[in-house]
Amino acid sequence: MIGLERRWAKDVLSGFAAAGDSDQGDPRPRLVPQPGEVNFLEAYEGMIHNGTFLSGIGMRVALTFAALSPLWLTGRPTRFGSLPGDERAALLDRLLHHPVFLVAELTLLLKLCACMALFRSAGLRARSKYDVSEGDPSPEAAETGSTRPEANRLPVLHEGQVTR
Amino acid sequence: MTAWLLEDSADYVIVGTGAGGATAARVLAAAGHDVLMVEEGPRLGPEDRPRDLLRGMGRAVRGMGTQATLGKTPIPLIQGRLVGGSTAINSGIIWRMPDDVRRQWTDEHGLGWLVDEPEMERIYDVIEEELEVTKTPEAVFGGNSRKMAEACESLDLPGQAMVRNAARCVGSSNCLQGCTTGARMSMDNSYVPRAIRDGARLHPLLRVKRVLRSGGRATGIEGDVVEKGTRRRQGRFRIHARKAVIVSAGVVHTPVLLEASGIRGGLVGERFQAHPGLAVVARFDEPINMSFGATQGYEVPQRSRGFKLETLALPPEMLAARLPGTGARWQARLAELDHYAQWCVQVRMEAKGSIHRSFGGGPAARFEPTARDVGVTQEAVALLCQMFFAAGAKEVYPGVGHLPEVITDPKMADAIYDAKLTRPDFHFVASHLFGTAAAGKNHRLSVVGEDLAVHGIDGLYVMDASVFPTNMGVNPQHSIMTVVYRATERLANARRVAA
Ligand SMILES: Cc1cc2nc3c(=O)[nH]c(=O)nc-3n(C[C@H](O)[C@H](O)[C@H](O)COP(=O)(O)OP(=O)(O)OC[C@H]3O[C@@H](n4cnc5c(N)ncnc54)[C@H](O)[C@@H]3O)c2cc1C
Ligand code: SF4
Repeated sequence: MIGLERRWAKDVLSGFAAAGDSDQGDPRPRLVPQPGEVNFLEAYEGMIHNGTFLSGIGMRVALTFAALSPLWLTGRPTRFGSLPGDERAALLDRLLHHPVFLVAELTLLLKLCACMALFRSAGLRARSKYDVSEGDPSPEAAETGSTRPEANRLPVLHEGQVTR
Repeated sequence: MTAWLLEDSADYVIVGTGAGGATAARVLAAAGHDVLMVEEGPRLGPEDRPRDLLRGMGRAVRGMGTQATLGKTPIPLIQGRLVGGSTAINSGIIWRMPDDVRRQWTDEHGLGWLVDEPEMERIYDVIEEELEVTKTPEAVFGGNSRKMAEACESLDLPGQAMVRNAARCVGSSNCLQGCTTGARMSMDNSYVPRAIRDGARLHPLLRVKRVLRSGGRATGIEGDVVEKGTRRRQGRFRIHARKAVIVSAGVVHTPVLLEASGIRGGLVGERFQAHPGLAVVARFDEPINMSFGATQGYEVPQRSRGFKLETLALPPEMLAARLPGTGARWQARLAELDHYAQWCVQVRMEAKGSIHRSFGGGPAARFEPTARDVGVTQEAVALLCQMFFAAGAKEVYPGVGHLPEVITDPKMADAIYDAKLTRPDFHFVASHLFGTAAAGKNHRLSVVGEDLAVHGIDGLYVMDASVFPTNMGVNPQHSIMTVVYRATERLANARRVAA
């Protein structure tokens, strides 16, 4: 992987979750990565390595579309990574809604890749509240006595309870 | 001369350890035969099943889920590549073959012996007992399934708790990454170890490239030994089969392997069918906590309308990717990941495609949903949106092009029925795959006979979902296991009598 591709991968993938200046007034809590918390490149390389040959090409095409989107979507010869966060996010949003199915679908693949990177960070995952936490057990978790109960805690159902 | 990194032999050599291959191994080994299972993927224990999707899917899912049909609107075809095959990453849902499918196979495809009703019933009972099949208890519904149950009650829909082969499920919502608690009786956790206990052997990390033939009979297999982490080729292997080779590489790879072995033409690779699906997400004011509960726990069968609705809890990576927006708007949604529910539809599509060996040696899959298939999907998406509102959702994200990204008014859900939508508006994914080496009595209209033996070649069998002459409209693993069980019993007994 050449240096330009690595730089584009970092710029573009971090663009999905970049904090935009114009949204600073929004009172809603947001899940924002801390500096250095998320390794976007690792996720990009992992998906290229584990994906099919064709999906690798697709990822690279998507990356090129996104990295050059300031030029072909807005006519500005600006580097994607030099744009403010909200502009990067807006460009990616336009790509996700692009009328050409393949452009939209490939950008979605990049968004999934960004998510793989984001949720590999234990800190960010914890802040997302996705996992039921010890301090906030669901009613079911309370019933089984643990938020991530071990196997065999629940009784095996009797045969008569099987319905088909 | 070739230097073989591994050479071996057995009476029965089985390629693939998914629903089909593992069941064949279980039956043959129990009957005392000498069985060798060969699997391209690794054997993964609970410690090899990380929770994060990048590593989890990278190890267990073929192409990390990026293997897809060709064309302008690709459909990802999800398959496991590990010991246990796709069963090692599935949700454990168990359905018996619907009777109309059984009758169609009997009447139109001459498969009356294979799907003989009393025999099927007998085998279902055995499998259900061995795989601890039970109805999902409400204690592990979690918020996702509970909400669907509420929607069904409110709209008077015939919803039901799913029946699964996971009696000891503790609701870790982790099925896609593999059941780390060992509760789900996927093949890696049931029939593969059972066959090994009965004397079978297992070689993981062998990618079969060719079935060897001599004088009209299959004599073995050969291919590459691959490295666990990188999947790079380490060297070559050859395995001699004294009695038979059983190909159970799944719907995508079985036809590729047959074609690579010179078995081409006719219906090899043709009549590829599927139940492609898609998911709808909704936000509730109250927490849903999708990370707790059976990955799939509740369903609404709608076979007469051509679809089935299911709950589907996905890992945070997939849920986040499915939430609308980018930047700050998206980050606000990510900050409340505990408030979302996700339900999906599986469509019994009428479309038929094909999977053939490509120039590069891999699969080239073609499948294009028909206008009717798109219409059925549209109806199902509309119903899912209505159900979400009935359950109290505040926002629904249909994820369909030309529909609003976010729906906040139930009337907008009603309007989906009449919206003008076309194929590219839908982002399908398919994990229930069928056909490509169809079974049948008529040699011109099938690849294998009712005993699942390949026409015209001695000692070569196909035993996986590729022998299905039709799709079914319900989750397939139980039918695959049952059909394979039946055919393998005949094989085991015939060979014993002959001996
Ligand atoms: C995510 C997911 C969820 C699902 N959920 C359910 C569910 O809840 N209930 C249900 O009924 N069905 C479910 N299914 C479908 C079900 O799992 C499959 O239909 C079933 O496992 C198919 O069985 P099979 O034997 O045809 O193929 P598989 O189970 O896919 O097994 C094929 C095996 O062959 C191996 N193989 C392929 N090529 C080679 C080669 N060249 N050399 C060596 N080995 C090779 C593969 O690695 C794989 O292990 C699900 C599928 C997926 C992907
Ligand atoms: S939900 Fe968790 S415990 Fe239950 S079967 Fe799936 S992985 Fe196993």
